[in-house]
Amino acid sequence: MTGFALHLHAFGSSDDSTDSMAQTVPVDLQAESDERLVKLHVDGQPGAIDELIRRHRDELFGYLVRFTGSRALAEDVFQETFLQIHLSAATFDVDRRLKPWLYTIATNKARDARRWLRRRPSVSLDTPVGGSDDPVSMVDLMPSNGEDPQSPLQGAEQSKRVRAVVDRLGDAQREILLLTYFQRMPYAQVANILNIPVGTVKSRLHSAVRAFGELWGEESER
Amino acid sequence: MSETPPTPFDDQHDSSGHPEDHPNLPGLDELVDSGWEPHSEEAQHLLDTLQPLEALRETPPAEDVLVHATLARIKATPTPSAPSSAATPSSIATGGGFGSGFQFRLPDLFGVAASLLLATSILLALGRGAKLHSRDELCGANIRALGTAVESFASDHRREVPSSNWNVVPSLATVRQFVDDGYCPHQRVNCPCCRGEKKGISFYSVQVGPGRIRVDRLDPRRPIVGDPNPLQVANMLGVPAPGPMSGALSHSGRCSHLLLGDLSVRSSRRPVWINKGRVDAVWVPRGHTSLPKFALIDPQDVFLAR
Repeated sequence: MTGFALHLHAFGSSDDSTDSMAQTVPVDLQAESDERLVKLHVDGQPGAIDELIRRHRDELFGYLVRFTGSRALAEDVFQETFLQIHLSAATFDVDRRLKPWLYTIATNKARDARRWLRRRPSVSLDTPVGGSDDPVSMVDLMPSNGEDPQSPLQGAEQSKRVRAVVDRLGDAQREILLLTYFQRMPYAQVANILNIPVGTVKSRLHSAVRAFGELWGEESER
Repeated sequence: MSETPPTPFDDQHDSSGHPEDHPNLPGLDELVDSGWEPHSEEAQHLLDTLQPLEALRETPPAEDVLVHATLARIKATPTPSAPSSAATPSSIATGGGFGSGFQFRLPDLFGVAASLLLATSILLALGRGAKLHSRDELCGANIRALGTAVESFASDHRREVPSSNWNVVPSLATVRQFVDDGYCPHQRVNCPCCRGEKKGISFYSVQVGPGRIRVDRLDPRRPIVGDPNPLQVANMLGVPAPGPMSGALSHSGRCSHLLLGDLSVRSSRRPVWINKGRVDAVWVPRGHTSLPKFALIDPQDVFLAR
């Protein structure tokens, strides 16, 4: 997508290539740090935000899918998150690390999205439609680009059950569990993202792990 | 999923307590610090417990179309200029999207607080007004009930009613006789606004001569029962006597109820003078600053000060 050697006109841009003061400084965006990319984006460097998104797209999107439990919702939050980064980039302190800021915004947006979704209950795609003799659900009427419907069935069922258990954790426990377990973040970084003390992160994670174990135990006994 | 991995905390279950009160799980901190590489039995056990989470490990990648859509939105949104004062991380991290575009600022909060305060004050004032109005109504009803009691008593006692001096304490006991003889319920001889009721001294006053008197000889325009005499009440409560222009001990100076000699009830929202030319009872409402020129009121005089 991006990450090519671009040219930045330093000391004021000029179209006159013969101007001795005009220097073109090649910027290798791929070699720049996240924080520097934000600075470059604020300075109007084309491609800087593209590179930032490219670096974090999959990891952040995975986090959002796990957090929201919905791919569609995760896509909305993903866009909102980077739009917020764009809007607030000028206020970013380049001496601080970007990743905690990015995940702070993403987590807050994801929380808002879940609340928003709870206030607007939607019709499940499993809702029966049509006559009662041979009921079909809305999802049956939608075109599918999946491959073999049988092969991932068991895995999908397992994911659904785990998803349900994770959803039963409160927001506070779920986000800490996801950040530490899947994103491999240390306590201090999670504390920074959630703006809570490290001790609170620890105790919440212990509670979350305990709660998950108990809920999964109940789920398995069904 | 048939197997249920044993949890290392089966004996520590306490779902009722605060989550942050739970004891630590051995090995968990070690797992987090080591990037979830178990180096002890406890850590391995915890990792086994969390193994079902691996079902969520695989997530779909962010598709190119999503990235393009995000970039399109960013390019369509002009970058705001940097604020003069540094924004707080929390304010930056919350604005926008999902109906949360509005951010409260300090002036907004003050505005909301002021509005709430104003609304609360109005509601309280309305509630207080309604409460006082209700008490006024009840007081008038009490006086009417006393009129009925006087009439009933007179019917049973050759048209005679008990009487006493107007401005001496025993006059209160005269009204009490209506209660004792079963002509009037107890609560009807107490002004609902009078704070002296708890001490049993808030009976309505009776202004009749000593002994018994025939009701048909009463001056039809002369009050025979009225709201509590504030001087007597103050005396019995042990509080300073109110001046003639003082505020109310009851009714908040809003009105006065009098049972006249013809057993009719007069409710007045204006000052009441009895025996014109010689003021021996006057209701001074709140807000009045001067007395009539003939008002030579002795503190021992009876007046229905409010």
